[in-house]
Amino acid sequence: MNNIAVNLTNISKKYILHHEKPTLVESFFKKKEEFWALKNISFAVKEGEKLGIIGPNSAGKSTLLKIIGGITTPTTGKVETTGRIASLIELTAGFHPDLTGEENVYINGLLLRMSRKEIDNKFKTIVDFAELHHFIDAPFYTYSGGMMFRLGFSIAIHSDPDILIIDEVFSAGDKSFQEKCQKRMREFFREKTILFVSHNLGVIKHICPNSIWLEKGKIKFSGKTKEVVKAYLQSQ
Amino acid sequence: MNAKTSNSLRQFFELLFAFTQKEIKARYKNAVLGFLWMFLNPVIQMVVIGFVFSLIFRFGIKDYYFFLLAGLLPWNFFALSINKATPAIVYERNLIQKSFFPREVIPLSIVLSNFFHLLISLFLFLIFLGAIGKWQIFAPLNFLLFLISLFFLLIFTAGFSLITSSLNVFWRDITFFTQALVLIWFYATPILYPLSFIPKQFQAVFYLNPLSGIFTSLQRSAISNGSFPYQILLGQFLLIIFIFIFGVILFKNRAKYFSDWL
Repeated sequence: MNNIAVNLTNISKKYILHHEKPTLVESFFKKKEEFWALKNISFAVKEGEKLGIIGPNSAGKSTLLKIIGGITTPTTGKVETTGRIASLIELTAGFHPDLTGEENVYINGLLLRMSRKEIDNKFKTIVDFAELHHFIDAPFYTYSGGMMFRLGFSIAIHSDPDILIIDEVFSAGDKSFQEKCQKRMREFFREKTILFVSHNLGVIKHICPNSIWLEKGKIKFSGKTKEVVKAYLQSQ
Repeated sequence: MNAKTSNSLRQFFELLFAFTQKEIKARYKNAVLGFLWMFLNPVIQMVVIGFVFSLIFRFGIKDYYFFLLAGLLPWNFFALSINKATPAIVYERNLIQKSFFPREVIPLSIVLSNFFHLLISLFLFLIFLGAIGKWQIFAPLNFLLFLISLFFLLIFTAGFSLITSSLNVFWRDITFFTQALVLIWFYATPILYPLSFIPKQFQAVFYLNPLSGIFTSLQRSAISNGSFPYQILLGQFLLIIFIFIFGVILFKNRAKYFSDWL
């Protein structure tokens, strides 16, 4: 159980600032402006550990999650992850409005790195959990925001990830579905690795024993969540 | 390690298949006649364009109508695919920002869905040719070269779309360049005219166009008996394979930075 799930060594990320759309014609004339979103970040997360990430806006939290999730590549440094990663950043990004709920389940499931066979097997469970039996063959543009969220959450949770990345979700869905999600999350919490970004310090304290405080692309303080949150609040 | 690679390869093809299916389905989902349009569109195209062109230009070619369609239908596949795939990564920025998956499936699924439509229209074209007794294309050699040419057209379109779609992320004016290029390319490729109409001193220039051999053999397999430009084809097939591999490597290399530029 003590294997490392996520290991970051000296991660730095440089962005080039664009004030307009980048074009080939322009690239010959304009100088590039650089911006470091992350500077020398190193930490390791053990399997099953829950790590909170806090910090003010534009501290580099989202960039960090993108790097761990494989969405972007660090400029320097090394990322190692073991197992399947699912990110609950935007649950409905993979949905296409013209396709039916069923077709969207398959596309989204494949995007979450499930195999077609796996989706076949879990299809009924996914639909049951989202409570969408009557609508699953209707086109997706007829779905309400809550229905989309329910289906997105259901697919993500049933994709059986080893590492879960959460960035400020759980605002949609009605009360009973939210409770169901939180119950499912608690079951999930027991064994899985979780990286949790939130401005809601109460939730972070509740879920994550350890935390990291990011500021201006650097780790300002890390350790027990209680102490990190205390120091963070004092600095404000 | 081996099991892992085969696993991710299977996953890649499952995702590519699902995206291609999505492209095809989404295009016709809202149409009243639905999938009937897949057949109706190429028929209308064949009748209208073929009719107009063969009335105006003829170049003194026998069976100009069939000669023209044999090149025009595959060209439409190429032009549509490139023009749609080039800006596709930018259009799918939402998905790329939010989810990790092999980005190749975005341009490749567009190419494959257009290829599917090409196969439908060629199927109708073959039925048409068969029905009116133009059977040259069904001769084994002609048919073989027809299929090989289509295959290499697919490979070239895939490789070229990987190049343009990945570069377009970093330079958004690539879309406009390729649109203009495709337009010029149409007239620089033997589609409206045969390769033999090119003056001798310019023919060498035409061999540099990797599509000239393919379109020449598409035309010849439809209306003539044999005589294919084998040497040119061989050289261009090698060039096409090279462009494809270059496209795959370039795309893989650039894809790491897509989300930073979207």
